[in-house]
Order: sequence, then C-alpha cells, then structure tokens
Amino acid sequence: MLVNHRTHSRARGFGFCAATLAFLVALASPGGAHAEDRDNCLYCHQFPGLSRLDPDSARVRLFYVDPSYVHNSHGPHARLACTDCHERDTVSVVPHKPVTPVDCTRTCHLATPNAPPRRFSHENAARMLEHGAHTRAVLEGLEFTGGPLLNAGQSLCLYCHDEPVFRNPAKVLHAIEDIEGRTFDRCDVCHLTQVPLDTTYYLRHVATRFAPARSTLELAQVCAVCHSDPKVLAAHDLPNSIASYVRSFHGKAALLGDETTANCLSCHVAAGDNVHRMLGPEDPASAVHVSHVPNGCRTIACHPGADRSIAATAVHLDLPTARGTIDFAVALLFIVLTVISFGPSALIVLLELAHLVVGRQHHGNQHLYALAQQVMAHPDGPRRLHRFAPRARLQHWILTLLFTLLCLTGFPLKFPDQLWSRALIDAFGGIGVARVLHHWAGIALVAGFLVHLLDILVAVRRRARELHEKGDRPMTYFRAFAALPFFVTGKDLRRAGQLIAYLVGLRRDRPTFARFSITEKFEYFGVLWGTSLLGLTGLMLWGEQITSHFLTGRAFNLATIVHTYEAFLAVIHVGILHIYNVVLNPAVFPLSLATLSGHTPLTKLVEENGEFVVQTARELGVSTQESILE
Amino acid sequence: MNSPSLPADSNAADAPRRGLGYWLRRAALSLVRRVYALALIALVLWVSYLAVRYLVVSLITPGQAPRQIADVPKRLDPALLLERRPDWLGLASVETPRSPLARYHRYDNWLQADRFNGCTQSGCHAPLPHAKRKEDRAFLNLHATSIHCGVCHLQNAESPLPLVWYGLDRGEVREPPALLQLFDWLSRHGPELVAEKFGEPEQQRVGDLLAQAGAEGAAPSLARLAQHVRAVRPGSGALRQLIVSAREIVPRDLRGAYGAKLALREPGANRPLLKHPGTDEAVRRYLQEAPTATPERKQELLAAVHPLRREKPLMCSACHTPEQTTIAHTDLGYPPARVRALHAPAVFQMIEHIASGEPFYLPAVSRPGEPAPAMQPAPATQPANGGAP
Repeated sequence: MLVNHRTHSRARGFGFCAATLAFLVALASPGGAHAEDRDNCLYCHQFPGLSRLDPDSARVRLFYVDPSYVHNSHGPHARLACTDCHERDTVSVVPHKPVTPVDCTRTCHLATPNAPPRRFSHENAARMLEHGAHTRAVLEGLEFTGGPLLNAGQSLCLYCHDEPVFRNPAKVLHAIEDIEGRTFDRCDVCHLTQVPLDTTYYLRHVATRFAPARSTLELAQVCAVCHSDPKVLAAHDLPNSIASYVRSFHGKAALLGDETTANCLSCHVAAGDNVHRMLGPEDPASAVHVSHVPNGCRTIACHPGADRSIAATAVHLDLPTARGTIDFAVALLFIVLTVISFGPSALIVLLELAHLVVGRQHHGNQHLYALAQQVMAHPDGPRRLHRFAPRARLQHWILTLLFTLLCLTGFPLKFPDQLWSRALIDAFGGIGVARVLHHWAGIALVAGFLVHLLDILVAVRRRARELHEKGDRPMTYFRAFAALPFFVTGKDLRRAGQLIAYLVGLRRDRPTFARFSITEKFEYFGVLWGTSLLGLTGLMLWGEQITSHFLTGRAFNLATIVHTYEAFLAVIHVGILHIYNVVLNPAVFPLSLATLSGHTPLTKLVEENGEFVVQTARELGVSTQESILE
Repeated sequence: MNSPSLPADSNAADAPRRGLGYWLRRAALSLVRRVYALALIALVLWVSYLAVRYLVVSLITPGQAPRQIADVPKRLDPALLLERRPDWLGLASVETPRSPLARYHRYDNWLQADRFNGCTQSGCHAPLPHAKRKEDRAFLNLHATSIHCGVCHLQNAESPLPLVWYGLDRGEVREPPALLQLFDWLSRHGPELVAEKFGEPEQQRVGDLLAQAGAEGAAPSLARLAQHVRAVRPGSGALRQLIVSAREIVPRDLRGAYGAKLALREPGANRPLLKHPGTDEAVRRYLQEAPTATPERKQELLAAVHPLRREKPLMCSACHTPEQTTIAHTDLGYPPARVRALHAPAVFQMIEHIASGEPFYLPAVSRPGEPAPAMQPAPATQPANGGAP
C-alpha cells in the first residue's frame, strides 16, 4: 500500500512538474500572456466568468479583469503590474490567500520603456482630501440607502474612482481626428528607434488631460452616488444637488450630450485647485463661497463678459423646494394662468365633441344661409367673405414653421431626461446645432412678429385716414385702433356665454360671431402675448452676458421660468386645441382650407361667423332682415 | 362641432327615395363620426391630464436624479447576472460607464445572462452555482458562460456527448459562435497567406463575422473593427492590414463570452436539454417545502427534481483531453488552434492539483531588488477526493 502510494505520489509529482513547465510555456505563448501583464495574472483573470457568489454578503465576487485595458493601454494603470496594488504574498499562490484590500496610497512602480521603473503613490491625494469636505472621517461615516456600497476594508477612493480610462483623444483634440493616425507616424520617426517611446500611450495620456477625466454626465453619476442618496442627504442635511443640477440649464444640456456645459467640478473646484480639496459653500476658501462665485462664472470658458451680478443666479434652483420665493410664485402664477386659459377652451372642444357623440345637430339659420349665398352671388362678395388675407396666411404659415422648429429644438431642454429628447437633439446634429437653430428661429419669429405689428399700424393708419376724410374727426387713431377685429368686445363675451349655454344644452340655438370667433381671438392674443414673452425672455437668456449688466442674476431664473412655462402653455394650446380646430375637427378634417385659400366653407361661416355675413351683406347693399340673427 | 346641418337638411327631403344602401352608409358614417369624436375626447382628456399633472408635479414634487444618472448598478448583486448591460440607462448614456462601486476594475463586458437555463431560472441554483470549495469554485463558474450545467451534471452514456450550441438570445439550437468561426477563418489564413489579396467575398465574410461576434458579446473592439473592414476597398493593403490586426485581436477574445453555450441535445429532438425534463411540479414542490422539510424529505424532494443527475460530475480531464472522448470540440466548430489550447494539460492539471488541497505558486516575474520568486512546493500527495473538482 505504501509502495503504491509512493509510486502514485511520484507519478503525480512528475505530472505536476510537467504541468508546471507546460504552464510556463503557455504563459509565454502569444495567446496566453502579454508583455504588459507582468505578473501573468490575466492568464486566469481574463475570463469573464471567473467569479462566485459570496453567500455571506450576497454579492458577486467577480475576479475578471478586462484584458483589453492592459493590452491596449486604455488607461494609465495599464502600466502597473497587478502586484503593484495587490499584495504579492496574497496573490502569488493559488488559491489566493485572503487578499488584503488595496491601499491606493501605497507605492507602485511605473514602468517606462527606456528607463527604470519609477516609484509613485497617491498619498498626496489622500493628504489633500483631509483639507477638503470629503475627509476620510466623512467618507468612513457614509451610510447608504440599501446598505454599504463598498466591501469591508475597501479603499474609500472607490466612491469616486474606478480604473482610470483615457478618453478618446480625437474627441478632445479635433486635430488628431483630422489627421487620423498620422500623428503617430510622424512621432515614430524618432521615437520608434533613437528615443524609444510609446507615443500612442503618451499622446492619449496628454490629450485626455486637456479635458475633464470624465464626461459631464459621468461626473454627475459619480457625485450622485452620495449627493442623491436619501440617507446620505438626510444624515448630512444636504439638498439633492443632482436633481437640482439637472433642472438647471447646465444639467439639461449635459443630459442632451453637451460636453462643454458646466459640470459639477466646473463650479465646485477653483482654478488652480483640485477636486480633492473641494470645500462646502460656507467655507471662505471654497470655490462656491459667495465671494468667489462671480469669478467662477466669469471664467474665459464660461461667461467671460458677464457682470458680477450673474452670480446671483440660483444654479441649483429646485422649485418644489423653493416655496416662498419669487421664482416659485412666478411658476405658480403661470400654472394658474395655463389652467384658466386652457381650461375653458378645452371645455368648449370637449363639449362640441360630446355633441357629435350624442348626435345632437344644430339646425342652422336658413335665412342666414340664404343671405350668405346672396353675398357670394355679389361680384365683390367672395372677396369680402375672405376672413384671412394672403399676407395673413403667409404669416400664419411662417409662424407655423418657426413654431414647430422652436418646439422641436426647445422642448428637449424641457424634458431632457426623456429618451426622445436625446434622440431628437441627436437628429439635429447635437445640442450645439439645435441651440443655433432655436436661437435663429426665435429671432425670425420676433422679426415676423414685428412685421405683423407694422401691418397693424398700417391698417390703423389707413382706417384713421378714412375716418378723417369722412370728417369723423375726434380721436380717429384711437377709434381706428379700437375697431381692429381682434379685440374682444362685450358682445363677444355675451356670445361666449351663449355658446357655453348651447353646448351644455341650456340653449337651443348656437350663437354666431363676427369675423373672428371668441376662441380665435383668444388664440390670436395668445400668439401676441406668447411671442412677446418668449422673445423677450429668450433674448435675455441668449445674451446673458449683456443682460447681466442690467439685471440681477435672479432675473435669469425668472426668465427661464417664464420662457419654459409660457412655451408649455403655447404648446398645449396649439397642440391640443388649435390642432383640433384646424385639423382634427370633423368639419375641416384633414385641414382647414381657410389656412390655404382664406375661404371658410359657407356652412361653417354661417354657423360660426354669421354676424360677419350680415355685416358684409349690409356693406354690399344686399337686403337683410333686421332680426336675421335673433 | 356640429355637422353642417343646412345641406344635410336639404338631403333629408329626398329621404323616401333613398335605398337601404344609402341608409346603411349614412348609419355607418354616423357611427364612424361618433367613434372618432369619442376617441378625440379621450385623447384631449388624456393629453390635458398629462399636461396639468406635469405642471403640478413640477411645482410640488421635489426632483430626483434622472435615470441617465441614477440608473447605474451600484452593487454587484446577484441580480446583475440576470440582466444585460443595456438594461441600465445610466450605463448606456455615457462614454465609459463605471463599474459597480465595490469593483475597481473595468467591467465593460457583462456576464451574459442565460434566461433559458432551467437550473438557474427555476430559483434553485444561483447563476454562479459553484460556491463550496475555495480551490476550484471560481474556475468552475468560469465555465458557466459557455457551458450549460447539464454537460457536466446530467447523465448521458454516449461518447462523445451529443452536444449542441444554443443561443442565449432565443434558447434554440444554432450554429457555432461567430467568434469561433472567425478564429477558424483567421487561423486558416495564416501569416504565410497575409500577402495575398483579399477580395470582396473575404471582406464580406470577415466583416460579417466580426460584427456578429461583437453583437454576441465579444469585445466592442470587434464591432469597430467590422466597421473598418467593411469601409476599405477589397484587395487593398488596408484590408490586409485589418485582417492582420484581427488575427492579433481575436484570439484574445476567446474567453467564453460567445452569446451561445454548449448543452446536451435532447434525445430524439433537435433541441438543447436545458433542464431535467418533466420536473416543473417537483421543482415547485421543492421550493415550497424545502425550508421546513426534514433531511429525509429533502433528499426525497431533491431526487424528484434531479431525475437525470449524474452521480459524479465530469472532471476537468474528461473534457480537456486530446482524445475528445467526452466533448468533440472539433465537431462542435472549435478551430484546431483553439482545440489545442483547450487540450493543453497544464492548466487543468494545475487546477486538479489545487483541488487536491495543494497550493500552486504563480511563476512571478522577479524584479531588481526584490526577492526571487517563490519556489513551487513538493508535489502533491494523494488528493482527498481523487482530484474531482
């Protein structure tokens, strides 16, 4: 038995030695190991499935290390040996001994092609942390919703850092993209032979440092680990800065892919300092202390021409938590305005649709219809019954196009976290293109608005002259202005009441209006009011550096609120009510031809604009009965 | 909005002369109009509700971090093994998504979830089922990405085993993984053939396989390489250079993430055998009773759940052998170079050595000023379990 055991043991020993030799050969083969992986750990750790479930912590212990990081030098740590971070004694044997957690402040060895390894340590960063808000004590005391995020003893650096990756240099230095790989060809003339240097590595390393180490959104993800965790926020009495950031213009732009907008560090780390010494706003040395914010905003990269007052802008404004402020009041006012202006119009549409559902029909005024036919038979009748002049129709269609473009380029900013927003912005070619389109469409809209105002002035002047020539002298301009057809009159309001009464079944006959119905007049005023507000606030926000010299930064918050809520009001009005009236209404479906030809179908004209028919008949001398509208 | 009543009234006078068809058409039109109006009412109400709700919520509900920021896995929970990376919007939204916090190393290639593995989907076994022996549990779990549990744990007397590839997307039998096919193609077009002109068919073939391999879970670099391959001219030096690059890159990706796994073929059918057949009820009963069952009852329940269970699972050497008596790698589409690597005895013999309870010291690279590498211990004695993993 003993002999057998020895023989077997010897055989196994020989087999094992052979296996070890083969293992070493395999490690040296091209498919097995690579020069960069100095400790050959990837021989096993390159497999994604090298892992297990830890029943004690109910976590996955994943031992996989992405070999492409090492092989392709994806980051500076690709030059480290595994044992530069992991204790050699614990990992040099399989199965590994219980591993000592990695200490990021230990000294490692940076390998360089033509020089001996250099010693390096992150101890400096650890020391700096003690001078900032994120001290070791603070980090050690963090308690998260749902339990700890790190394993016991793991480096606290992992809250913010993982394996560092070089960013795509072409995205940082566009010249590299333009000349493709030729940069390296030129460098390699010397650095391939005489002065050996891995030019690819160094170019990527340096290029990466020309931009933040992480993209804006990635940075927000890092900060959100703590700054949006309810338990951490409650323990440290902090607001949800991430939520308010994404409600700011900066955060919205970040969500839509803007890499040039301010990220967390843009404001919270002062020039010349670094992230490890970040301080709270109450500390006079902090980049976001009230005394430093103006300079932070007015850096060359951000708002260089702005006044100090721009710093009064509430960057982290979150309306629900800002009750009692003027910002909250203005937002509330606009919401109330939206409800009371949209509500009645929506009610009219819904009641009209309800009439269709129940099959209630309005038996139109036969006399009025006959009168309309007589007017149409008059040589000048068809022209006079035009409700929309060619110039007005042209302006309407230009307005339609610009409004659509403004919505498409502007609304993604209102709902930046929606997937369609990012897709839409990308379809325009990115946030930069969309922004330019939005600005210039806004300018065109304002220009069109001014042209329209000019048209009104010309019409008023012409009407005033007519009055003047007739000898109807007193206050001719005022009366000409008051006679413009878009003003809501007492009669309009009376008819509106009658319309509601009719729609709810309290009145038998549907009232009829003059040239423009009450809903059309409200829509028109909505356009005037909306264009004015949106144009004004849009210009304020676009030219923020100039505006800041005249207004306090708080005005930007108000302008943003007004701009966004007014745009929302306009969109729901147009998107729901106006689209119903001119497209979805069965009487005009698929499109009201009045928007193209200016002609309203006679039956619709008689039903909705009967007064206009009667007035036109009178002006043309077509005989009418006095009581035709009663 | 009422229908234009005046012309309609004039038609009404002719009503007696209209036929049935007219009245049916009129009734149908009326019905369509009413349904249309009803749909519009619903639409207007719904959109209005959404609009007003948004306004109110925007003013009274404190904001939260959006999914693009918050929807990232923060812990390496087992649930991660049941999902795929794009399921997290926060990861899909950024250039270089970070790993769950407790993990320092990059984690770009997520473990591919196997939604068709009856053993793990039943709720009985974890996706990484080997957890007992420290010496080999991680090595055994390593195989879970490319081999179904049944290959080692289900009874089958055939030699070699009747195996098929099944896709992780649909759970159906499929051809060998694109990565293996690609490696095969590249192996056959060896260094001596690099000087040849690659034409359009080769370009198409390599491009398709690269793209497919990238889509099936290999490194993203393969998908990018596919774009490059498709972009250059057939027969050009650029295409040849790309194929040379592919020859260098692809072997590094042979790490078991194929988008497909090997499984036993179901007897008499062209289907993978992904669970013990006819055990759904037994599984349900086990999960229900096991927590409170006596040891004897538990054994009884387990026996009902595992009718095809192998008494002793396959060991490493059963498959990693040039004889291909258990797994016919060549027949399953493994290229010769890969077969040679799988059959190299070094690694699995090492693992069996470790499994016997003997430590294995890695051949560390010595550096100036550091101690020499540790020496390998004396050969192992008779393992306690005969070397079975």
